[in-house]
Amino acid sequence: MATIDKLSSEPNKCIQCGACTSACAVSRATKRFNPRLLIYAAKKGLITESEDIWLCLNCHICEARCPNSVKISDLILEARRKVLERHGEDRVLEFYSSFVRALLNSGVIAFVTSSRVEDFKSESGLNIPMLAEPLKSELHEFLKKMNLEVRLREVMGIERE
Amino acid sequence: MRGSNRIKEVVLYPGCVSLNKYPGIVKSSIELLKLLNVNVKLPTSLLCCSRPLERIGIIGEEHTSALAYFNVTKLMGNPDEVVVVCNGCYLALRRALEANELRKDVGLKAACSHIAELIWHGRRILAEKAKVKMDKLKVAVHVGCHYLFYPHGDIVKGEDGEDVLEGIALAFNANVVDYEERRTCCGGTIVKWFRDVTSSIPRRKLESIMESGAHVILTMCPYCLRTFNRVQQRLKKLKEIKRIVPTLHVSQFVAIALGLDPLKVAGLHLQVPAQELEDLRRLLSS
Repeated sequence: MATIDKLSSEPNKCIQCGACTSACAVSRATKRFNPRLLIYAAKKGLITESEDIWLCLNCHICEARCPNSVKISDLILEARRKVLERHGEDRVLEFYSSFVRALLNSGVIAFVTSSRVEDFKSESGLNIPMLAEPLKSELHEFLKKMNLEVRLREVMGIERE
Repeated sequence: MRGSNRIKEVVLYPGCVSLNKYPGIVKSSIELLKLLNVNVKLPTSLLCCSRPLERIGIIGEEHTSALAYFNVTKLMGNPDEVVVVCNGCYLALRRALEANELRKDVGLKAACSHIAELIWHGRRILAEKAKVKMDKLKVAVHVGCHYLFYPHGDIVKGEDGEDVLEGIALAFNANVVDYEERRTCCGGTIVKWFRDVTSSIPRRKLESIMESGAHVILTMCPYCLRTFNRVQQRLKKLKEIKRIVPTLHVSQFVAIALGLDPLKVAGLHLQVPAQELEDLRRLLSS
């Protein structure tokens, strides 16, 4: 995946051939999603205006099929990040804030929810501990250095706990 | 480790979904690595690779990479080799560990491999130890987008043109069935509020697998495995399908072929319904 600067020239590499759209699983499922048109919107600086950026599966098959290797998935992800920075999509907060909270508080986002799984893990010696002190504080310091903790809290609107 | 059968030590990074939803994948992977004469260590604590947050757009690549460095240096002891069992973790860790300018800054030395790659390299050694006949089993392989397309895994195509999972299944004499949707996404990364718009994606894939007559789906990604399970359970509840096609991770498939316990090691009872599990056991013992 490329950085923001590297991505700025990506839309101009597109020849609008539509290979991306013909390979896209979402485009087959719904006519409203068209990666070719999203790249065109990116060229015009309008990609963040399209709600369709949230339909992408980020599977990268479009990039594998693109004759010019345009980083289509990366452009869509970058557009999502920009929308989130201006708090332009409340549904991310609604559906995914629990993941961010879980990552900040316990280090993982998928938990054991079944006693049978718990038993299997115990019997198999797979009880890897969750992140505990002092490593947890070290992680938070590390995240601060990367400005990641601030981003997670600001983008997701999560208050400090 | 890539391309070699050298005896060495690795850290197995289990990932949240496999460890906390399908721990039989982790247990099977440990046992297989031991059979390949690899010493296995686990991280001292579990920290998510953060890829699920990146693909939504909540964080950027630089953040995922930062967490990968923390993971590898603080929780894994900066090893020579990290082995993952999940395509999402593979994307996150491999991309971070291959960013050379950052490797130097953090003092990283680790390479990242997928367990499927290690099994593929050792498939002939492992197949010699096989105890369960797989020749009646029809297998539909699903490698997964975050190995096939991004990043490009090392064994997208093997020496005979087969992909990594096909090569492994064939080494154990299973029958690999072709199906129309073989290269399409499982649909697991659909954003939640568009589930209704895009629900036909996993459905179309599963219909194609069912039409192929496959007894099992073979994958190398616990996230894809979870999607196949969840969607089939939903379809069964709606009475749209009568039975579920069990999905096995490649580590579980090989562990079973080697005669390791399908329940105590592979943990299949945690992911395959009782009737389907019984059908599978009959197929493998006949």
